[in-house]
Amino acid sequence: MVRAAIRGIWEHKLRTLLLVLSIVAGVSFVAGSLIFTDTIGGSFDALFEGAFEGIDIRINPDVEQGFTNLQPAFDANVLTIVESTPGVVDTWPGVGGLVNLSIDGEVQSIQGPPNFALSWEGDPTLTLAEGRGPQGPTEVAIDTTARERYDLAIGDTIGLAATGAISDYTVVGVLEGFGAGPALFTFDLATGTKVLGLDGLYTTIDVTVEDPTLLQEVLDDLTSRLPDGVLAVDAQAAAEEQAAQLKQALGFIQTVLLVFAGISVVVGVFVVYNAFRTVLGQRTRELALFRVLGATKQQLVTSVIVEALVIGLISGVAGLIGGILLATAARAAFSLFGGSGLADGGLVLAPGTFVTAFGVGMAVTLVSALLPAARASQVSPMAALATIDKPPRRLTKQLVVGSVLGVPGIVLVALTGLDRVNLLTGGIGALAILIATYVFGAIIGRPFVRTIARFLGNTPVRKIATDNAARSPRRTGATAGALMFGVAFVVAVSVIVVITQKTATAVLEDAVSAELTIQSAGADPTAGVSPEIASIVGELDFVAATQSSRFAQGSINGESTFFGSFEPETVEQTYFFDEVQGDWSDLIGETVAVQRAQADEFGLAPGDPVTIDLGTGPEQWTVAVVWDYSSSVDDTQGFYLPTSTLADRFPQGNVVSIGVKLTGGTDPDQAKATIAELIRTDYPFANVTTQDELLADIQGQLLGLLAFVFVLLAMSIFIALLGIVLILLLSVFERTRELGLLRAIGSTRVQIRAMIRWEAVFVSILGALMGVVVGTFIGWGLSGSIFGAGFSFVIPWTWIGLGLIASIVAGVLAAILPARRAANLNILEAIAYE
Amino acid sequence: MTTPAARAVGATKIYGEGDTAVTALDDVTVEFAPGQFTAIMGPSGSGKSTLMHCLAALDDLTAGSVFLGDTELTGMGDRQLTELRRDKIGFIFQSFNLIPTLTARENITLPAAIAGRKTDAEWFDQVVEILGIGDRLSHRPSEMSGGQQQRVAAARALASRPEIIFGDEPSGNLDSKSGAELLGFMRQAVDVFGQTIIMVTHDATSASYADRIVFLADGRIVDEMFDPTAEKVLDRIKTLEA
Repeated sequence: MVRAAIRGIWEHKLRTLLLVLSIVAGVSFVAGSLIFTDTIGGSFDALFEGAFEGIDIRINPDVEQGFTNLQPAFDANVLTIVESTPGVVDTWPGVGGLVNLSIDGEVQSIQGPPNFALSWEGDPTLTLAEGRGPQGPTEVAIDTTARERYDLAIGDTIGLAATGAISDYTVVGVLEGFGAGPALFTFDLATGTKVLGLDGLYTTIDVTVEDPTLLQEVLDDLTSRLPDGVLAVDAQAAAEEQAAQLKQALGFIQTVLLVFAGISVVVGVFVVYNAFRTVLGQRTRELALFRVLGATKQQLVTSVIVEALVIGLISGVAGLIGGILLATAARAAFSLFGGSGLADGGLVLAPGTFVTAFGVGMAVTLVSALLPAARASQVSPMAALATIDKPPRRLTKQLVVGSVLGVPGIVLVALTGLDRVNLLTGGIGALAILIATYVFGAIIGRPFVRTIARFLGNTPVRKIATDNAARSPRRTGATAGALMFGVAFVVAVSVIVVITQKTATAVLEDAVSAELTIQSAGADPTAGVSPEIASIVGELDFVAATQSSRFAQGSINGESTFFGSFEPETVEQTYFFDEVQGDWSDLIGETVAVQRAQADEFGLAPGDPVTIDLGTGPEQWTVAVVWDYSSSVDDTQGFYLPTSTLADRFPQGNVVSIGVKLTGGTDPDQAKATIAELIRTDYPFANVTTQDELLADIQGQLLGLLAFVFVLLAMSIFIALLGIVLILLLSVFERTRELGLLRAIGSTRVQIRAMIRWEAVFVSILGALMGVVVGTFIGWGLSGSIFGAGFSFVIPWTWIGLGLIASIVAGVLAAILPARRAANLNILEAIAYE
Repeated sequence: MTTPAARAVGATKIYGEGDTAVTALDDVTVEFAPGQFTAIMGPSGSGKSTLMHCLAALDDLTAGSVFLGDTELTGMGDRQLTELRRDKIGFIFQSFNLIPTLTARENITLPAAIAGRKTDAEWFDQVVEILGIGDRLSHRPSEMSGGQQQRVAAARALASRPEIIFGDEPSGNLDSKSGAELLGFMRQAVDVFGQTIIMVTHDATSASYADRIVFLADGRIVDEMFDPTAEKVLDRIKTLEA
């Protein structure tokens, strides 16, 4: 019997191949995600093994890493304190910050990791790979990352500047780089200070101690001596922590990948389950014959399980190979987007990956086969003798299961849409709805197909296709259901992204009145631009006002937050406000302007005291203004300080952006061209954009995100389509005699092919429509929790339309193979079948 | 008197309920002697197949009881019935006797394989030789003629030395020459090995190979005949239909 099962796998090669493919796709995704993240994680380990080697303590400002440009610096007093601390041997004060790069007169504005300027005077944290260290005002040593990323060599001349005019530097050496992340450009301390505009200031001090066993004592001593806002940290612990932070980020990537991999595995389970059910249904007589000959129910179950296990094993092996291919492709894509050098070594194949790949392969097939196997074992021996078909079973069970899951699911998602329950609850509700819809597919499949057919008009071919699709409602429902999953996810994600887009653009459209924005053209927009640009541009006669914004990070009443900034003089000219409580002219010195939502949350009104900490210890400030944009705007950043105060506190920092309000009747494009020309020479890294360009930019970014999600979901949809191919093939096999009869009485091959094609299209439209309806609802519900109740809902009609068209095309494609099979049946053999 | 190989006592089988109820067997009591070849005849709907299915542990009765040797089948659980079929009963159907993915040899040894037993090689060779399928053993069902397939089915039924073999129109799908050959082999199995066979048929010629014929009509036994010939059977059918 087991032999018969295995022989069956071999005999039906095409069927097995498709089954295996449906499982392999998901397994590959899982294995690929693991291999990819393990490989990157492995290179992180190697990366940080050497970091901070040779130093014991690092002194740096007490600010979370984030906007690198915001890192405050400290003055020479700190250096004196450190040098005079007992136990300290050597000190290497240094500076670091974002820098802009220009090669052959071209400003390098790439998407990806930033460029970082650093002082280096031979301290042991960096190692020379080639050439020598930088000396004097015109020399720079780059790291291997910069060398590879920008294709540089010793002797090249490059332009560098933090904000102002570009200076040329000659590359004299190459340092061992980290392989990923920022590209390094190192100068001697004096030059570095000049480049970054940090006269008399430092951002780090590296320290070695006399007796490493007394490290903790020295650290404690330093901590008590250093002023607020400056930290002394164990260099080794810092290196480990940085590695841990990166690994945590990597863990997040892994989770995201595995979630999408999980979706495709689940779709695989549904496809394989449906296929097993159908195959076993077709083998009823064979199974009954086994029973007649004395096989027990248990033996029938075992034979099906063995079949499943063999397929699962094959899928595990193939999935592992597929995973390696996927990981290789992902790594290639990763290098393309700035991760070059990272993960260049061999792929990491952890034992866990093997176990998971085989485990998932086996689990998918076993779970999918268990129910059909149990049902198959119930077959009566009498079925071996029967020649008539069993009457269709009622769908009561589907109705009950669907309702029991669907109704609470709808309630939960609806509550999420009204922001009454959290995202997780909404997710559980969404899952319940998806399963309920899958189950309901069997019930609505038949009337749905009939309706579409009536709508299209009944030709004989379409009539037969309709009847075929409606003949086995459970099978049709399950096949369409697998597709529904993928489509629902795509639609739900597009709903959320489109709403995000609307929210993001609403800030620009309904809150910002300035027509132009000046920002850094460099890779990292938070690098900012020189504050002097505002005064130059302000002189122009077609400029009505400028608004310079800075950023800071810190905390308000103990809650950590980012701060934006306003210039009170021009704020009403450059923004639209619906509500202003207090007077903008009061926003000066140690005061803060708070948006309405945050004011309500923190219970703040003009005149109230607040505790603000900008990384230099808590201070008592005052609320000057509570304001609100128009209701369409949902700005998560609710606290704004006076720009002038931030400029005083962080004199080395740049302004992040300058808004430019034009006088009435000025053409923004014209104004943009004039300003760009004016500042080009002195501020080559400042970029002038119009509102329209910013809008397009935001849309482009979200489109990129959407595309990324679609790529991740493509696997699930691919598996669902394999499911359609599989089921159609099985149906063609099952209807061999019918098809032979149709051919015998004069149907042409073209008609037979059209028949199968229509059936596929019916199934795929059913799946796509279910997915669209369910996905839109789930997208709406989850948005409620993400954007808060009363968000403005948008249905992404374009995406839905494209999705439906794609489904029809996919249905036609899925039908190619089964249709060819059906059309090429030998008529005589088909009728003489058995 | 020796214990009959199989017997039915007051066997009644009713399909469906209420208005749509159909009585397939109506209080049938009958015995089948061991080592005998019995044919059950009757027109369509006479209940002959139902009687065989119930005797063969494939279907259960509405009322009455069925015995195989000393064993009462009525009230047995699925597991016991399954083991009974496996160990004591052989089957030859009209069609779809063989598993399409297995070779002739594998099909013949299938019941033993299911039971986890080794096939008696000597007995296997003997059966294969008598049925003349020695050169077909490595072929799949699709590579054999209908007659050959039925002979493989007969070999399978004999291979496990069952107490009783049931045939359901075993020659029904065969041309007259192949049919005659198959029935000849079945006759031989009874004469040479003392095999008990019960066969359902509506064909007088097929029935004439039997030692005894039981006639059924409307779910009741209406007549029986010993040592039949085709002419005698046809005459009797005419009388019964009259």
